Amino acid sequence: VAKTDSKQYRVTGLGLDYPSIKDGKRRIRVTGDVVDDIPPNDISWLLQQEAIAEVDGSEPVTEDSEGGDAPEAGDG
Amino acid sequence: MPFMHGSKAKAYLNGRDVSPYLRSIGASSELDTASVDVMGGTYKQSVTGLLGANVNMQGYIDGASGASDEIFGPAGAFQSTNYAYLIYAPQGNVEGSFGYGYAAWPGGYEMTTDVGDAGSFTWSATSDVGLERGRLVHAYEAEGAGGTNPSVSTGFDDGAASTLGGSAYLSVGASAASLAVTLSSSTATNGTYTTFATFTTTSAAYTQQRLVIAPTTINQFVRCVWTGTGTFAVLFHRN
Repeated sequence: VAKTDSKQYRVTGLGLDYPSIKDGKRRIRVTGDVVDDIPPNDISWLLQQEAIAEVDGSEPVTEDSEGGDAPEAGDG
Repeated sequence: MPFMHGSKAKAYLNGRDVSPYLRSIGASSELDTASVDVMGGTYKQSVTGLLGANVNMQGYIDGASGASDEIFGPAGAFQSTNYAYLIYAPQGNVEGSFGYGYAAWPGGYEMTTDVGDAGSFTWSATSDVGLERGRLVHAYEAEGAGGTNPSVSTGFDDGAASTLGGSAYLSVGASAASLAVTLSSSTATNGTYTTFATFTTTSAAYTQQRLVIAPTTINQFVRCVWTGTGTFAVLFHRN
């Protein structure tokens, strides 16, 4: 059973394509999407390259989420 | 990759495969040097200046609609007010193989018709971006659905990451429908890929785009992802 990181991250780069730690299937996410199933080993370099940013749990809705930026769509 | 015969070379000019009209392609590059000889020295000394690149093609005249004369001559690239975008693949249209990209100004179109020979032409152009060597991350071929090259779980291994950006060429052929192409990179072949270049979505046939990729980290493994359909080639060059 895959472990999930409780932390959420917002895609801040041009997009992301990764194997989900939930089921191993690849996910494609675009700028603004919020994700919580990125492989843990990739998080540090993704943060470093500003491809993702940590979502502040106390402020789930940010100013740039116009019109209700729903969390990610279904995992398909 | 082994040696290959010159007849396998391919060239895509403003989205068109022009190879069927050509008998030879000459691509040259040069680096300006300036003498800085001073008294007391033993050997001539120089400093380097700007890089340049030229391309010269020789082929046969075909006056049909959309054929060589319309592509290379005054009706096409020759008198265009835009760059002639060219992807040149010396060892053929092979996915993952190397190629060169040009954003060039045509400098000459010369036709020759001789009583003893086939009508032929020469076409030359000078690139404003030097000779950009890269990899064909998508060969010039038709796609009927979205996909990923080299595959959904791998990438082309460029050996190392880079931080200086680069450029990318998209050459769209006879058809395209909502064709959207991106390039992404990862630290591992089956890892997490981040998009670093996005071409403008297009449905226009025979078009070409060149993206300048600003200095940024491009990881070791690179792949091409697209949605929509069309015939197209993609060349990626690292600075």
